[in-house]
Amino acid sequence: MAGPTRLLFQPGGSLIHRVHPATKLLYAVAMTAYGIVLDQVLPLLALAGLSVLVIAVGGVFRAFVRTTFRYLVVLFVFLFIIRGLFYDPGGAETFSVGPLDLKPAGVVFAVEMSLRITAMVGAFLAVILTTHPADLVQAIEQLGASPRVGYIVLATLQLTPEMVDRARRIMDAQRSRGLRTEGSLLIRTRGLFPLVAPLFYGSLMSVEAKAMALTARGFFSQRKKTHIRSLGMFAWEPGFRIALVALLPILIGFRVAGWL
Amino acid sequence: MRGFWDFRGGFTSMAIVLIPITIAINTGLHFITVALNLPIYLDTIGTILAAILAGPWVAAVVGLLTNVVIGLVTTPTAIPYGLTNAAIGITAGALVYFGLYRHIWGAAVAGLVLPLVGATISAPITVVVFGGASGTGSDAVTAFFLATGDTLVGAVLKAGFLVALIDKMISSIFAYLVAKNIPSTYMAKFPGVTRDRKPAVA
Repeated sequence: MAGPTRLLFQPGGSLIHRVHPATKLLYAVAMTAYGIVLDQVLPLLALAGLSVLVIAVGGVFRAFVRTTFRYLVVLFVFLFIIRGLFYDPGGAETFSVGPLDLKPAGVVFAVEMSLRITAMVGAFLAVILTTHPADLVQAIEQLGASPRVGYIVLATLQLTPEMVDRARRIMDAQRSRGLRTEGSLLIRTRGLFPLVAPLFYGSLMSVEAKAMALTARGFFSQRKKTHIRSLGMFAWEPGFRIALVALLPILIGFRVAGWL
Repeated sequence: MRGFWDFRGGFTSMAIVLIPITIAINTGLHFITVALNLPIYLDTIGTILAAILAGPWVAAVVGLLTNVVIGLVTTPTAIPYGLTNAAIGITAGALVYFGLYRHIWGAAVAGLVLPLVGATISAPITVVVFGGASGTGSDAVTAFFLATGDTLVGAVLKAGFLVALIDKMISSIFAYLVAKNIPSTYMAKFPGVTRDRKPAVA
């Protein structure tokens, strides 16, 4: 399975790659907030376009399409089915396309929601695809999070591919001992526990050793820690951050005034 | 001995190390069910086990971060449902606290309570954040309930519960069976919490 065995981060030297992780995080949060404030097709289309543009500037458009696009398309199709065909709080008004009775308000809603989700998911993906996880965690720590949070996130990202490999090895081992992993649903379900249990016991055994290793290296010390990596920042970034935040009340004002 | 609401006391060095491991196990289980082509996920067994070993708050962190990590490596739309898995972690912690995981029937009862909580937290997320669709198998069930005349929230709620029921039932019983076989001397090293201060699993 290609999915969780590999990180999304794509190394590169683009403008987006070199922006400080905290600025990128603020951008993603701001885009989400803009997406919640806006509710017309055209502004949302612009927002989704901007989101995809940032991904393209970062040189990670192909990674975006490969990892998320297929999943988003499934979501959008179901959104269209549920809203466009079955559910419409507005009224009974429908129009027919071939054999389908569509509800116009539902279709508009599905389009707006799809654009909104594209904008938000795209903004977060731009951050994840262009930022090394260690840099992201360090930026979060500098914002005031505990190093324990940093350890948990980084260790998880590191352990996940290992655990998927371990699951694969256990499956091969149990199969070679005669465990049936193919056949009816009942047979496959009965094969589950002999796969689940070794996965747990093997990993639980390592917990104590790891805890001791962390303690021995002074991880739980109360003193201030230093970092081996350093994060750079462009001169324009502080101003850009203020602009990102300032745009939100402006958009809310426009929305309240009815201009958007 | 700490109480149920003691948040910080749960995060001992053993618990801090347990968190990434149970999250990775959740992801590994997801891989197994996909490889066996089963319509369930089992990706809450790690969360329930964290609740048994280290109490509700550690389990909540495991639940929340499981979805954040799945979001970081495959599907970003999983992230809002981290709230659901955090709630499942706290609920599992409460069920452990009241001693339900001392018997397989208790674990089965927990398997009924967990999907109820899960569906209740998931439905508003599906409706408010994604407008009714979640991009998963329960969408087809949602469309079915809508076609039979349910409201949107009602249809999403029912579909979520039905799809989660079998998954959480199996997950709960598996977590019980795994925990039952952990030696009590090893269990004692984790900061688990129960009301009567006896072991969480008999």
